Amino acid sequence: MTKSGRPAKRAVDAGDKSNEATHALEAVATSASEDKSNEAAHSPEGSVRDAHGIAGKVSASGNTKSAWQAIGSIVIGATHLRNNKPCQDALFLRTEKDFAIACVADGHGSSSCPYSDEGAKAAVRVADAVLEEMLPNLHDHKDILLPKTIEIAWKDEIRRLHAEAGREPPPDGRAFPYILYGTTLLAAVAARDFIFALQIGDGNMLMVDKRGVRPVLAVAENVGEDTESLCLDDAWRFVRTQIIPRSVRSPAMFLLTTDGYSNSFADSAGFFKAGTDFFNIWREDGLDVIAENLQDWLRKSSDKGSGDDIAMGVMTWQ
Amino acid sequence: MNERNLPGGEMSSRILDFFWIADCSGSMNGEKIQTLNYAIRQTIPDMRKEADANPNASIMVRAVKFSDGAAWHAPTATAIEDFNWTDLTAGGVTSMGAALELVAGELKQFPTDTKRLPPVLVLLTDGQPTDDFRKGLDELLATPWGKKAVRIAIAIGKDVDLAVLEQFSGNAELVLEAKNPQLLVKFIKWASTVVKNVSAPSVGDSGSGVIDVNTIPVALDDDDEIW
Repeated sequence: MTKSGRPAKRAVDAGDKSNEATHALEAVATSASEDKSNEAAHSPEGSVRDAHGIAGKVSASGNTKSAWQAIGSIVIGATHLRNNKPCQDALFLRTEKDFAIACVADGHGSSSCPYSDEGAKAAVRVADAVLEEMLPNLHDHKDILLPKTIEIAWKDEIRRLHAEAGREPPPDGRAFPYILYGTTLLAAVAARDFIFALQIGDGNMLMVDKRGVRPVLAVAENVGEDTESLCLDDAWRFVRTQIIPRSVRSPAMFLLTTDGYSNSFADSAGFFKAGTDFFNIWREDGLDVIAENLQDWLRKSSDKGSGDDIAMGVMTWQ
Repeated sequence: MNERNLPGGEMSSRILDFFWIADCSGSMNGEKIQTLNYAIRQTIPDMRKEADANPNASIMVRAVKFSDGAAWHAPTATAIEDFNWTDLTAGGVTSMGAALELVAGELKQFPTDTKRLPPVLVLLTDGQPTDDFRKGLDELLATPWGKKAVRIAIAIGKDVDLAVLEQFSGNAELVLEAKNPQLLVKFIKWASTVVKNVSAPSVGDSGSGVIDVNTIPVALDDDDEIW
């Protein structure tokens, strides 16, 4: 599903180490060479390693003429580090001239989902490709075509990955065990006139502007760790979508996070305050400051809070 | 780097609620209740170690006793670091349904967010309910967290109604038959260790789905059948 020749787009996961980090740096360098006019101001780029040697911070300021900027970071959970588990979250960011895309995914990580880290990475790649392809028709967010297309594309990709890895196919007549790769997905595409958001499973998407902070999508009514998933039959039925017209031309920020972040706060008020704090830092000090600190903030949040992996994408709209 | 304060409000670890639900009926008198008291007390250091090893989960312990009715033995949720076991004494009948109603009432208060981990309920009994068990179980399973909980039943001796315990646990593999004091100690200790497993997400499973039943202690053929 990955397309070549798009220098400003990259998928990052905290479990991959040197190769992903190098790739991210190269990708940023390439994009900067395409538009050198304003890179410093708009490209807080680079990939760094946290205290555990895990790559994370990334920006996607590939086209500095875009009204949108996208940055993000991903950290492996404190509990995962203690138990030698891989990071099961994934992050994908892209900024183009006319649109930006941010996707995060949270592989379930339970014993019945041993390849959920791969499932999460596949989910963000697939979401990017499908959102770009369907961007011209996204105005009608009630359309079920997009959720269905994402489900089908993810399941196609999972079967391909499964075969490529030489894993045992299901016995004749048995359904493919997508649960092995189970994952959530949050994705947003920001276009000239609107932002389109979709979500399946847990995690949070916040919109923040001068009027305050609010969830973009309704919260699924699940208990505890139960979550809806791309691996379910007819997963498209559980996909929630929202479209927000760009009617108010004031700066806005969108935060996409896996649930490891919100679960790190003592209560929801603390989580919403984070949205307001991010917005204020951006407006007062710029996105660079967030980009510089984001991985450290997520690392500390996981350590002090949920212990879970955290992936966060931040999109800003000037 | 221009370092900043952490965005957002106060942070906290996730909460894992652990309930001991103990039969104190007259038939428990003697070695059974003594062994139960001994074994639960023995679990405390290990649970504290587990809490130390996982600072991202706070283990909160409660205890319910039942005989002629049901009551909180440890009345408030207590962090395992501060939890101490006060010995139970036996006498009366087996109001198991009332005990489950008491637990259900507590679980109803829990918010259904993703912050909380599935509760662990450990029911210990040597007999058959003398009250409306079904009503208590229905109330428990009607709560979102009761349905989601890891529910383990430990049958003490051979006079237990195992069908009742299977209804409670929802999984026959989580009904453990302790036919002597040594097994009772092992089972209680094992039940306390499931806190390690209750942190992985699940899709469509009950909380019990995260438990590795292969780790349950096995009764040996030459184990004495004392009870």
